[in-house]
Amino acid sequence: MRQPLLLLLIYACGRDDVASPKDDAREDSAPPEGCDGLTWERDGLPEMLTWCAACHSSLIQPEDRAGAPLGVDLESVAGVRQHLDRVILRIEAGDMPPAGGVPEAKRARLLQWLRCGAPGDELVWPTTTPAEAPEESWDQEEAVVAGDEPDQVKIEAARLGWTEGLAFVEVWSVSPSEASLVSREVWDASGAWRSRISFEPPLTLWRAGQTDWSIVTERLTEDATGLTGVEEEWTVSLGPAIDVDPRSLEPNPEARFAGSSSGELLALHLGGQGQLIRRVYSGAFAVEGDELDMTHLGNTELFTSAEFQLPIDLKWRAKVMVR
Amino acid sequence: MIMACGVPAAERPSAPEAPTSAKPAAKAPGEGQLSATAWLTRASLDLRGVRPSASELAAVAADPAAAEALILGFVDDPRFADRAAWTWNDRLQTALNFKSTTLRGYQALSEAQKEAAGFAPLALVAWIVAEDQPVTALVTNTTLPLNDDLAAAFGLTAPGQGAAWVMSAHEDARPPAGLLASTSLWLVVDGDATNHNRRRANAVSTMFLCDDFLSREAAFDFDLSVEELAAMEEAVRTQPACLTCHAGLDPLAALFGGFAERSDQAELSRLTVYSPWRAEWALGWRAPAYFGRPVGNLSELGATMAADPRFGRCAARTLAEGLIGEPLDEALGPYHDALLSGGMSLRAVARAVVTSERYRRDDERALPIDALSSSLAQALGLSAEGETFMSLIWTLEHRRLGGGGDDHTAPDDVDQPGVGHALRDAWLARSVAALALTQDAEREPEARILWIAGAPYPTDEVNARQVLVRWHQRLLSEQVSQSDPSVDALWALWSAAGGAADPETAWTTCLEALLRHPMGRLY
Repeated sequence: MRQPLLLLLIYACGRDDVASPKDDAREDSAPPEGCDGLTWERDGLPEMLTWCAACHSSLIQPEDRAGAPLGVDLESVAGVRQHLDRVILRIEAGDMPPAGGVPEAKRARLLQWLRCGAPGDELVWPTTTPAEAPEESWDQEEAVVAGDEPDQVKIEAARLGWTEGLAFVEVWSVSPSEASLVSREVWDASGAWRSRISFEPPLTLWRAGQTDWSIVTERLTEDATGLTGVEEEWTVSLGPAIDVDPRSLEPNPEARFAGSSSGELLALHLGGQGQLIRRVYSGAFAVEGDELDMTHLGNTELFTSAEFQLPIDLKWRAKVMVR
Repeated sequence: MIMACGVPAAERPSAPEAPTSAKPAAKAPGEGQLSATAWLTRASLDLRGVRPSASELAAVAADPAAAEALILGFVDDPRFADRAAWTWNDRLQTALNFKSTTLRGYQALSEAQKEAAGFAPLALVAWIVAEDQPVTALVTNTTLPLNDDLAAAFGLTAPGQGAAWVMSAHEDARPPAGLLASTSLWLVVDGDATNHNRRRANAVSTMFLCDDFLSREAAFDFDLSVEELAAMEEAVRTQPACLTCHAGLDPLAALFGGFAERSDQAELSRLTVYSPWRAEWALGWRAPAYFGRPVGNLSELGATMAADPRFGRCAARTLAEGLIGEPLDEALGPYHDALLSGGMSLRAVARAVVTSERYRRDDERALPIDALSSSLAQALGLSAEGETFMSLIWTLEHRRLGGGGDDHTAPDDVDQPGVGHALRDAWLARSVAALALTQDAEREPEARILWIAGAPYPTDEVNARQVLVRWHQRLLSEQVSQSDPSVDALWALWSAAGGAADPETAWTTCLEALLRHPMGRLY
């Protein structure tokens, strides 16, 4: 209920043809006392940066303005002067910044500077080049949607993640009943390819035990702590970066990972939107001394759609790198 | 004052009647300002980490007007660099973190490597002061300090100059940006992908803008349903109560994805890597920006921060509050002005501070632990790198006795004297008194600093009183006469502690008593 009210306030204040009662008063009155020496750089800009410009900036994209009306830009002294009456009104009313929070002394000082007409010269900022977000892409060969009905859907897709200085691409197989890791390919920070591990059959990291999408969704939108791994035996094939004696890869009933590994999946933590928060194992995996620290695989968004709409709304931040 | 140190009861002066010489000698009563010699002592300890020499004290005692020129000269003393660096530890809070961490990755580090890792960010402050570089170098410099210990810890190429810090370029692909690209800093303030590096973003704001998002009076009156709370990431982008902080915090956080996440298990070599892959990945989470100004990488962030008036104000505040020992808030103006008019020079701030009336105010401050260490080492003729003094600075126990709560929240000692100081000083006095006397006795007679000419451990009263006068000057910056009541008290202690029958014990007891003198910690 708060947001409509907020928007109402924003747009009510956003009308340039609406003059506040203060406008007339200010035109006829002398400048308030205490204006000498006030500057944008010292008295205005610090507070405007701290409390306003993160949203009210002409320099950022509309979608990053968090609802700040287009055109009401306060990152420059010219912008503040353009909307001076509105800014004073909103700060006096205490509804901007949205949750208050400006200490009274700072608020009073800012209002003093504003009531003095926002004096001062523009600050020269260094030239910057906005970052370009990495291109989000699907490798169509990796993303396969099979079937039309939700309970028939099976996704095979890859995602980029990172852990402890290593970048990796994982190929997953996700169905209503389980999520399984098919393969994991690892690069180091310099981009050099390190290894590839394939799981045959896929390493099932959780299993819902049923095929009802609603239950799967419920599991994904709640903390799934306590989900245990399933008892399976796997074989592991390794890429050429690691030379392993095949005899060391015999299934080991005491471990969740074949070979010399000792880890066991204990719990899978999923965030409110289905994002994978943490997978907890009993210990680090090790294959022939090359440790694969899988205790914290990061926060890659595994599922962002509670409805499991496929594939368009399944916003994996996936960037597939095919060697 | 000596009473606490063991003077027999019959000879103890009562506390209210303590000899006036126990206070800095020339304080001007009633004016609220330190005397010229006390001002000189305070500035020397703050800026050089040592007490003024006998000749400096004598010069100012003879001509108080000479104090200011001497004090301004202290600002250009090479030792000020180290003092300023420790002052910054109150802001950065990095120095002792590697000593206390229990993470697996740090366990293999030597103590020297942990100290180097903790001091590395502060070493940049030292370099800025030593070279009189603009303080904006904190977030813009293309090189960072590196020494052999740090290089060994982080797997970097050692500069080959031992513990000395050498400015070195990054060996990986991280954009240069002063401390914003510091491995040490981002190991201390580690990241957790579940929070998208917001902790690091807040650290940037706290350390370089003096604005802690967590201290904001944000109204956390989340009027949200359970479903909305579950969708917290969405809430921080849309809910007014969240936006007050997150609109500024999150675009800043997007710039720190290249640094490693916290890991309880990973080897350090994996935590010190800057990953362009992760950095690029993080940019896809939020469009990076600095309070409404888009920035493309850490270098651009540093350049933009350097232009932000809040940055300069925070830098001036950090040094000024460190020197004055109290929050300045509304009184910061003159020191900030000095920074701006001085070309962003921290030395300009220091000059404005130490010549201000506020700095000369006649109050009692507890000596910062690093200045205590260096001043005692100098006064006793011991190496500041000695085990006792290094222990004083680098062990958590001594820090805590100095008033710090713990190494993360209060890494430096507090400015107000407390009972912990007394306990620490008792340990300190016991640790160094005998050593200092023995070492000094082994020096050539003309090189001795604690003993006067003639044999050490004198047993005749005339020579003994001359020694005690010298100790007053060296340890308390006091010029007292041989008949001063405090000298009388120490002479009485000397007699009671063994006297001529056991002069070594008697003199050690006297020095230990003087080392525990509260005025040796107040300045």
